Amino acid sequence: MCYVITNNDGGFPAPVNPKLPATVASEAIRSDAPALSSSFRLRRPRGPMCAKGYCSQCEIVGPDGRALACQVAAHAAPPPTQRDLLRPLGLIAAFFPPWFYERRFLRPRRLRRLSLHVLRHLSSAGPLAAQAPAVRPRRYEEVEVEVAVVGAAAAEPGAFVVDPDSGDVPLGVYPGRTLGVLRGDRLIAVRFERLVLATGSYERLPPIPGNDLPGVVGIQAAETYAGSGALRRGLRVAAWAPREQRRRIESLATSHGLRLVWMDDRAPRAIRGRRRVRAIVTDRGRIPCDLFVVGVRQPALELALQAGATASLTTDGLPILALDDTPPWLEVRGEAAATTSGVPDVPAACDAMACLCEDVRVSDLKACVAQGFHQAELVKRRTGAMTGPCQGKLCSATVLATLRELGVDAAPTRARPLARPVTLGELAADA
Amino acid sequence: MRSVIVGAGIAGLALAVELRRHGVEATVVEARYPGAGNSSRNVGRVRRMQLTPDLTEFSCRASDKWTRVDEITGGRNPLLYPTRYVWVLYGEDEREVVEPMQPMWDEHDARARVVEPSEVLSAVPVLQGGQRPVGGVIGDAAIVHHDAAVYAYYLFAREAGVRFEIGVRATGVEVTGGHVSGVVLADGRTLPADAVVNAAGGRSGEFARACGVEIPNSPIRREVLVTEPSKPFMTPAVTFYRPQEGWFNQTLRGELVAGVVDVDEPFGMNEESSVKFLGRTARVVLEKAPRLAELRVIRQWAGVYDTTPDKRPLVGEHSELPGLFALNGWSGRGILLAPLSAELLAREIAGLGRDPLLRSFDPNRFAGRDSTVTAHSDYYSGYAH
Ligand SMILES: Cc1cc2nc3c(=O)[nH]c(=O)nc-3n(C[C@H](O)[C@H](O)[C@H](O)COP(=O)(O)OP(=O)(O)OC[C@H]3O[C@@H](n4cnc5c(N)ncnc54)[C@H](O)[C@@H]3O)c2cc1C
Ligand code: FES
Repeated sequence: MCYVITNNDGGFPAPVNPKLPATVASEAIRSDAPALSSSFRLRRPRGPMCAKGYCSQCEIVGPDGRALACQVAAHAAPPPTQRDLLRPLGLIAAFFPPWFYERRFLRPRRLRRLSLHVLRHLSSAGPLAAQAPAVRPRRYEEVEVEVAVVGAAAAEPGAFVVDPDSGDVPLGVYPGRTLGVLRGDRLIAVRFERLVLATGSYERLPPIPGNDLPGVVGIQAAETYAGSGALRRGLRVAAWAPREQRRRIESLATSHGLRLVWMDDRAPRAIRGRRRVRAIVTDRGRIPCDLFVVGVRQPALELALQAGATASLTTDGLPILALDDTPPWLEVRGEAAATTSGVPDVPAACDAMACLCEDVRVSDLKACVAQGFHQAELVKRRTGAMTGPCQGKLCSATVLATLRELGVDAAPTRARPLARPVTLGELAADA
Repeated sequence: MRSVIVGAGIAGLALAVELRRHGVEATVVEARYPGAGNSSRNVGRVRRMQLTPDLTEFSCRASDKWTRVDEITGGRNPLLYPTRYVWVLYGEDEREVVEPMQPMWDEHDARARVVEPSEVLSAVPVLQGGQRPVGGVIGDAAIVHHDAAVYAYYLFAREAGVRFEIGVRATGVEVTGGHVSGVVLADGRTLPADAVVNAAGGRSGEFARACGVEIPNSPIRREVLVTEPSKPFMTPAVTFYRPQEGWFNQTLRGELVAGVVDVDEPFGMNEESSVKFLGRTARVVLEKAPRLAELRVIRQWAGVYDTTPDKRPLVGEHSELPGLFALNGWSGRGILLAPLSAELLAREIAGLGRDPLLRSFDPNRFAGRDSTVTAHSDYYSGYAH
């Protein structure tokens, strides 16, 4: 099953000219320092993963306040170089379950008030900008259409097409067949008769140790970074992908002179490195690499779920959340309608990160279930898993699959708007 | 003595724990999961000052009760975060309502003061640069992490031998000889009980009706949005009522939670979010606190206030149907009021008599009144008598 990599040193084609603008994230990858931020509780180094602004792992403090490094032009802000001085605290935090406020940690009682105040300040989140940005409230509008479409790929003549790639922001699907959209200077509630979703997919991270290290990137992200000239010739790439994605990865490697050191559809045992990916560990031993490309995808289902579709974990191979039923007026197309991960299952490793945003490990989920929390909704609130800035895009499948392994009801938790984070300044409207 | 409690929100769970302290058997019936209702949809504010003497007195005692919830739940920590409540006034008319309250607050140790605008701005620096307040009320308060509190009660209740029926709805009661004798479940079972407690939150009116009792308890939607976390920039809980009711504060985790109500919100059970809410809340909150503009909203949700005509809860036995007890009608203050109300109701159910503190919460107080509709009203006129 393992794809044997021939040493394709020499004879590289010349790297393709960078076409995409460099971002702070692509610069970080190019300069071999992908660690851009620090995780919330364990203060693990984190770096760009999706290159599209949904994974929220590359948040930095930019010139205009907090920003995602993959969305900020390279010349606008220098990449953050500061090391996280509180990192040792994260190592201590690693010994506590995510609900560290329970019993022991905040004893004695006299200190509780103090410890809550102090704890707040230990968060790795960025500060609020000192200056208020200028805000002009949008116009609020309600429109009625026959067909609403999200994703230009599914555009139909006469439909109200929401195209996230050209600046539209779909906010969510609301009761009464309503789609919330930010477009231009308007906040629009679009009432539709029929809804077509071509929302694409997200990375399905492997449930293995080191899956959150800077240098673990999605396949689209790898293409984006290659396009902005961030992947140097000879960069050693390990790729985990279903068979049908191999061509895509190979052509990325050949056109940019990357060295594909490993490619398989079975996840490796671990990804190793301290502040970034250095190697993977497979059944055959350790393979040094600089980038770990994830070609396995999780359909982007949040809008469909908000619309009342139902989904469940797949049962063949590595589980992903896939659609079961959709209301008659909803159609889901493309990658969002995928029904299998296309790769073999691997059990979740205890020290794998289940939820990156909230620093919840597989072992934390196990501890939570052992405490008697037997519903996904409860585990979610108890551990914070799936409630971080990415709202479960990177982690739902891993978390729910782990719960299923533990014998817990793993029905997907309630999907709530927003489909992706939007600032208060952008939302303000005369509604 | 066997009791069955309908609803595993903060009220039902707290009551179960208190009943066990009196040796009363307790079973909690929950249609969804513990905390599925408003107890996981609120923002956990616990404040001492209110607009009437009875509610102020009760709220002060209820706030003190919160500091003992950790002991009651076997040392679990509900993450009660002591802070201040900053009620920001933007209208001169508001000052005229709150200034006369000062002696009443002092009498009850509400620890609240009417203050000048400068003090409001220094207590809440993010208000600087926004609409200028005309004053404020600053009082002692706490913010409780609703999930931590619900789970503290839930875990301890299980330890204390409370039984749970999770995932099944209660559809009514069985009555024998004019007295409640059990609860009927949607799966056809009947749980025998000498006391049945309606702690069904927003669905309390519905459940009471299913038992043949009309209670003036109408749900009304309240929406919330939450942003991604940032470093602490404020500690108090901010509320304002002009141009309409709104509030925001930063959680322990660092998120901003905020909501601005729709003055035309209709009554009725509605736990769904809306698009309009996003635009309205962002605009009104930024008018007050412009620096918050860069915060990214990650999620929104909605719950309901279960509201009575006089904005006071219903706590006690229904005279129409002995054995049926009410523990609902919180009118937006169930987190604050439930732990103490549960303690007092548990004493009543255990046969230790009715506590005078509950005098204005009698569930039978509306009997014989012509109109028991809960009307839309301005906060000051709605909650001030
Ligand atoms: C946005 C918002 C903000 C709020 N902020 C505050 C605040 O800052 N401070 C404060 O004190 N209060 C606040 N509240 C109010 C507070 O949340 C509620 O008063 C409190 O949670 C009520 O708790 P409860 O246990 O009575 O009801 P709920 O938590 O609603 O629990 C009722 C439970 O009963 C279950 N149930 C219903 N019917 C049945 C049935 N027939 N059979 C079985 N189970 C049933 C439901 O599933 C639910 O779990 C807020 C509310 C909202 C919506
Ligand atoms: S990884 Fe973002 S919420 Fe879990």
